[in-house]
Amino acid sequence: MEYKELIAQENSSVSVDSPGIISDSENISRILFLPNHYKNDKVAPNAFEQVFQQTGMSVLRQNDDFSKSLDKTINIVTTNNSSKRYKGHVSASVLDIRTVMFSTFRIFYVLDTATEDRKAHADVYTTRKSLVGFPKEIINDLITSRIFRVFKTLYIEKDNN
Amino acid sequence: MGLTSTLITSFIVSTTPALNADTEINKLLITSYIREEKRELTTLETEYNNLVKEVELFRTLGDDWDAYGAIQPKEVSIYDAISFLNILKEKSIAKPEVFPKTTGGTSIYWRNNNNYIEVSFKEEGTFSFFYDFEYDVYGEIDLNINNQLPDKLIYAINFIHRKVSSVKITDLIKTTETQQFLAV
Repeated sequence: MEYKELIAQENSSVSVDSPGIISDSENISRILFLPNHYKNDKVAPNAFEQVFQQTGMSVLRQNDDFSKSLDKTINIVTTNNSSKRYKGHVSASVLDIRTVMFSTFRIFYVLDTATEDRKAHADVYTTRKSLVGFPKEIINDLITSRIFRVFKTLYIEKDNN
Repeated sequence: MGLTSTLITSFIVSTTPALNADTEINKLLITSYIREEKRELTTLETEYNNLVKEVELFRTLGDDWDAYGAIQPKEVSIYDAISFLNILKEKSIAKPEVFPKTTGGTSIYWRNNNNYIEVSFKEEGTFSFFYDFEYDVYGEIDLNINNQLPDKLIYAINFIHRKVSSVKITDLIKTTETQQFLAV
């Protein structure tokens, strides 16, 4: 799919379970799990590395379905892997994500990939697989660095270490 | 926390001049000797030692350690990261953070506001680094761990810790080919 087609997907819902397309004024959260997404009172970059994968980076929209979708997400992750513990989440404005640029190109787009039991679910994808002049080995890290910048608002469960 | 190295004790015992309780000079010499050889770990050394322990724990991670399908960290990446941390420690370079990459590597990073530096280890004996600053990005790959640290990496680390001015690093960047990285 070409760049323009990727971005255009944001203009219509991609899931029948979605409460609607994602507007710029919304906030979305990346859910953090211990032991490796949060260390030394800091969110680790690897919390965002899923963004360059084809499946996109799983996030939850901060809407009326957030709490229910969060509970379901925690349940899925911790049931499949007992070593995982929910630590909190870190949020970003959708507008901030949509305005991260390289040259004249947006790097990210956000789609409403809701499911029946997680209506707040969404995914962040990258539009770029290569950047002229930049070593391909580093592109994914650079993309991760850019998404890392915009997730700024942190909510942490104090008692869950 | 400053830790006194107890390993020094055996060295002191084996190299201390013969005791002669009758002479004050010898007592003074011994005291002085012990003071010189007693070595305290600096805060930075202790922090680096803790980082190494943190990286060693990556060996306990299996596949899907992040619950999002991550690959188990490769032993070679852990080994190289530890070697690199020891180099940074020897050079008293500001402490980074460490993390396992979801793609099977190990990385260290420094971050200050929107300025970010990452050094990654994946293939045996080599590393890559990039920095992503507000005004520029730059990266190098396939660097040998045993070679001298790249100048730009050191400048970037110093910049992020405000040890060099932005003017200095901007001048450095302007003399390179890095501007092309922003071209798409």
